[in-house]
Amino acid sequence: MSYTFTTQLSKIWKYRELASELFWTYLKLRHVGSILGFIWTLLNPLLYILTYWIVFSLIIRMGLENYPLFLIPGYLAWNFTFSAIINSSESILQSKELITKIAFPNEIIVLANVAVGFVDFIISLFIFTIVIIIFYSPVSYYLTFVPVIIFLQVLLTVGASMIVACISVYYKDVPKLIIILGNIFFFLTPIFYPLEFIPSDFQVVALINPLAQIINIYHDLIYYKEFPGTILILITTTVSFTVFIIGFLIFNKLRFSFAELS
Amino acid sequence: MINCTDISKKFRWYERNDSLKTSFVKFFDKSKKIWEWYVLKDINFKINEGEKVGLVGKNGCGKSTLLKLIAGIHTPTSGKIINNSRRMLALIELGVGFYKDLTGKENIKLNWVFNGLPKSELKNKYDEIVEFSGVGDFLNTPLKYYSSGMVSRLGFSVAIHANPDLLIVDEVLVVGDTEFQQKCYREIERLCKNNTTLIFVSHSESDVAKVCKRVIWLNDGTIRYDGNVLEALQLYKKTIPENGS
Repeated sequence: MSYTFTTQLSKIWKYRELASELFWTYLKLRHVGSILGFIWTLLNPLLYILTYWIVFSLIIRMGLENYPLFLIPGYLAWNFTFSAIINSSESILQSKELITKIAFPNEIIVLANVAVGFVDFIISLFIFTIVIIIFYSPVSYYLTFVPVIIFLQVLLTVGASMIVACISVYYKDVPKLIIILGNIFFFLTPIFYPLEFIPSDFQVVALINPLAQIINIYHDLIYYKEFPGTILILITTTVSFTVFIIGFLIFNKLRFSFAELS
Repeated sequence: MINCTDISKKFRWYERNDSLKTSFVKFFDKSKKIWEWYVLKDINFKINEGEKVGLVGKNGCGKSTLLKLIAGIHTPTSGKIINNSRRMLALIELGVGFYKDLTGKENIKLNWVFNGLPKSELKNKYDEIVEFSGVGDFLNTPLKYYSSGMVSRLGFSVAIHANPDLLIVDEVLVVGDTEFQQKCYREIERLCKNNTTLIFVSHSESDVAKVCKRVIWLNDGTIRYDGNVLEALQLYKKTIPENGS
């Protein structure tokens, strides 16, 4: 049977019940045996955000008014994509048993992993929205545009996770490398400082990272309360869709050796 | 219908070359070592709908690889496999896809969809699955408290109630006690009456003779014999040294 992108997607669609069941399984298994359970997923970003808030507005004075309004959306967005990529990078190797013994579209493992991270993201965003309505009203009506950007970010995250998941099967130290690179990129991405702080010649370099573009748009919409430039939106849309499609293509190409290598 | 034409499967192993670090080192050290070997060579056969085929051969002759190729877990290095079945079920190992922290009930549900079966059908089958597996009291207990026999029973029970049109069984019935084994064979025989295609791997010749109408004997990755059960088993037995000789 010849390959097309749509046959790959329809095969995954056929297994959608497995995808949802696996998603619930991952969600359930994540906190087996922990007392605080679901609280952990909220505690983690909360503690980091508090720390950055203290460091960058009390100790190192960044000089941004309403700093939490700037910091929180960028941090949450970063956290979603970065943890999805880390979890996916190990997901195929961890599911060795399944891949070598059951025939099913392996993409589902990555998709379910990203979905679990997405739930955390949505819950923390929801709480954050309540916070800004209470403390930072009036809220800009540009906020209604945020779901569109979230959609683009999901496409980007799924694509990137697919790519990383495949490569990690071939090179088993990639997950370690991802963690190091992630920590470096956290500081090189305008998350806790505005893009304008970067010398203008280097701003383009920062925006090569597609996630930096997305976070920049979040800043525009939520903090600066203005509509981001059309060119930035167009580039981000193109990049997100491209990474999404490339992720699936690469996965399909490399999947055939998973059962042997993992 | 399954149609295999000229399929070969080659496995390869690169010496310690599974990390970026080592491939960086190997980039300068050209004495790269790669082992390659054929597990299956030029396999040709056709299995019609409803046929019961036994697969015999020594350890390492490629039986499991062939099953995995048919199931779509592996892809052939060359050749072509056409598999027209709509509801295939491959029992490569019992209890795969079970999570030890989930309860029996949750695992039944998960295992069902792992096999690509619609959840809506599970409602009618659920009671039968539980009854056959005999784990009744433990349904709401996490799987880690099950005995290994119970896990296999649950695994087989889910598979057998899926009503597959192609059932692939890889020597999984050796676990479990005699009573459960007999129960399993009865179920396999019942399924076979419904025109289910069966591909069955076993080291027990009597079991093969019981359920199969055709035997494929694999030796060193090639087909040595394909046809009549008794004849195949007789030829196969001759190659196995008798006890004490």
